[in-house]
Amino acid sequence: MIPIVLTLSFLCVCHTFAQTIPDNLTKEIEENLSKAKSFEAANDFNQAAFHYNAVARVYWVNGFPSQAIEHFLKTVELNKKIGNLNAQRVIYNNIGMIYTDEENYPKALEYFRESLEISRKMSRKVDIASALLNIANVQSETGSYHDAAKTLDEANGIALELNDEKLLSNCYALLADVYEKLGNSEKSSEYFTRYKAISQKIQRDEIRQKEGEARKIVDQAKTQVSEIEKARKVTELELMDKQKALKETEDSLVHIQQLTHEQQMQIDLLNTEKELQEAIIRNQRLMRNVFILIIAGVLVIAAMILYSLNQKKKANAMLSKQNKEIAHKNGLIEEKNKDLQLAFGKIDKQNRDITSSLNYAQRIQHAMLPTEENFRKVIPDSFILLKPRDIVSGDFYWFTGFASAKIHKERKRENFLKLHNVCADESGFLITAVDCTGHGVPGAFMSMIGFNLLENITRNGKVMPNEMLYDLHDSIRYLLKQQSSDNQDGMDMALCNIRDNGRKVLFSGAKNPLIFISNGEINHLKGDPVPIGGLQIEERREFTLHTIEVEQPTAFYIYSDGYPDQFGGSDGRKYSTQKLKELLLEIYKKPMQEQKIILDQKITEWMGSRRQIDDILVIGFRTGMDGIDI
Amino acid sequence: MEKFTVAMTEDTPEIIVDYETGTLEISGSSLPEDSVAFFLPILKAVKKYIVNPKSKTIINLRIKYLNSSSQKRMLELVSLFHDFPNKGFNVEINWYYPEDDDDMHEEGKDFARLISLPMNIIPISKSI
Repeated sequence: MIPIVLTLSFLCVCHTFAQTIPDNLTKEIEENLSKAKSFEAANDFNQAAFHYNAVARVYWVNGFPSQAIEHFLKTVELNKKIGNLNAQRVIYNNIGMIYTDEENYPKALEYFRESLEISRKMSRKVDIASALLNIANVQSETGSYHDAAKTLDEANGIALELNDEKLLSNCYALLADVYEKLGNSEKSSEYFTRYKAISQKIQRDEIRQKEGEARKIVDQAKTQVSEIEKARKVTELELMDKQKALKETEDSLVHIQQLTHEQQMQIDLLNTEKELQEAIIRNQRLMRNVFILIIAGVLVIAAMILYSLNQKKKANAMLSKQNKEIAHKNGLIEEKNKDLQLAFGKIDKQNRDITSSLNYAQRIQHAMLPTEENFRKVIPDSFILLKPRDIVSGDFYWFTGFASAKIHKERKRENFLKLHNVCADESGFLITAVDCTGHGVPGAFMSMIGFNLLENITRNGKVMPNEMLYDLHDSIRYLLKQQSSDNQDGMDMALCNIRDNGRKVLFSGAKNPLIFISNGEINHLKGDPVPIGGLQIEERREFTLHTIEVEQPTAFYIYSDGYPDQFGGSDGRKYSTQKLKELLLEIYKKPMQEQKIILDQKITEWMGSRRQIDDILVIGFRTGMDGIDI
Repeated sequence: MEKFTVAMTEDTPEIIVDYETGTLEISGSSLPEDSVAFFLPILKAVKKYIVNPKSKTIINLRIKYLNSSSQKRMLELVSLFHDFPNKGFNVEINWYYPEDDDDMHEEGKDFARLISLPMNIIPISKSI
């Protein structure tokens, strides 16, 4: 009773003095408030309640009851939201107590009743009893003594049920007080006696408990001390043992040192001996190893020799077998060789025969042809370049001077043909380059025919190139019976009649042209596009007669197509007429004999490693200057 | 009827007588030792074609070189067609020569003069 009163007074005093909140508390309050607010915003009502509670307590303890109540109420709301009944119970009780301090008894009762209701809901007897006591206290304060007594009865009943001495003590105190106020001194002193008894009992119990605890502590201390004592004794004994052991060790150590020294000397001696032994053994081992190696080496060599001997034997056997095979094959080859030799011999003979006969034929052909020397006797600056493809040639040249009987005598042209069926003043020099169809033997045959025909035609008095070609054509057709046979052979040719001491050149051509150059100007006179002999569609084959007045020194060239048609160069192309003309234009001023060499060189170069495809014939001569006597 | 073909060699040209399409192709160089012997089977094959020719015949000559006897054989060959126009058959002759070969150009012109049929002389930019 008295403690309660004192507490209440203390709180009242605090209340009057504590008007403003000190700074350190403000901080604590604000911190908790802000936390509470943020938790509330985040719907964490538990944490928010906790922090509001903390704020309320600060206010309560420091004497700001209304703020405390305000915040307790906030806490209660939150606790209602989370259904924390116990928290509500406690807070209501707290609020009740605050109102009690403020002597706002109706409010105090209200909140104590709220707390009691929850306690009853929760069936917590202790809490029910506490709440009842609080209510009774208020009731007593407000002078409702009868109500207080009733309340206390219930509380007392619970306290007895629980046999809770503290509760009982409070009940008895309050009951004593209430009955006194009711004027029931008998009951009051009865309860007061009970109160005293129980409070004394409580005190005694407490003392006894405390004594017991003290004794326990003392006993524990005693046990600890004795244990320490025991431990100490053990340690002492151990120490003594250790000292003894140490002494013994010292003694033996000295002894050992002595021994060690003696032994060391012995050991050294033994070591030296041992080393000696080891050296001997090493030596022996070395010798043994060397010996083994030598033997191994010998064995290996022997094995190798045996192996190679064996291999040799095998090889030999195989070789002799192969040798037999080879010998047999050789025999076959020899036979074949013999056959081949025979065949070769035959072919070789044939070849030689053919070549021989060709060579012979060539001699005949050569004999027939006039020499370049004779040409140069009449026209000094001239050349004839004949390169047959084979031994005998299908290209040939023919020339002759001719004169009427009269001129023959007058001008003493012994080497000229004397013609009787020409005009009295007729005289001239005929030269032709002829390309017979084919080359080699067939060409050579044609060349024979052509050559002879030319001789005949001239002797018959035909000296005009165009007429000569016409006769030649006719004769070939007749000779080879070309009207009725399949024979189409003939010749291409260019024929010139040089007269008036070289100041006039008459020309006709059967397919082949005449080229003449003077003063850097080149002229290309094409022959008629028909050959001598062969197919004749027209009535009469006519040839054109060209007349050239030679007023200045002029180089003339007649040739067969062998030269321009030759394949060669880097791409295997034909030399071509164009290239020939370019070349002649380049060299025409040089002496004809020099030009012959150049032409020969050029075509050989052009040919390179390729073969000659046809007979090559080029004739060149220069007239139009003095010194030519025709 | 199967084509008549002769493969090209160093000295002889390629010959194709195509009875189905009515074409005669001669390509390459012709310088055989015996041109008569070489051309004999070809003449035979062409004569066989002429017995039953197509309404239009095309002759393509792509000659690099003709020696004189081959020239005559070629003339014979082409002349086999000489009366085609009279009989109502069309024949086209094309002489192809490398555009930088004047000699073959000239030979084409000479050849054209000798045959009584029209001939096209056509330069080609690559050498055959």
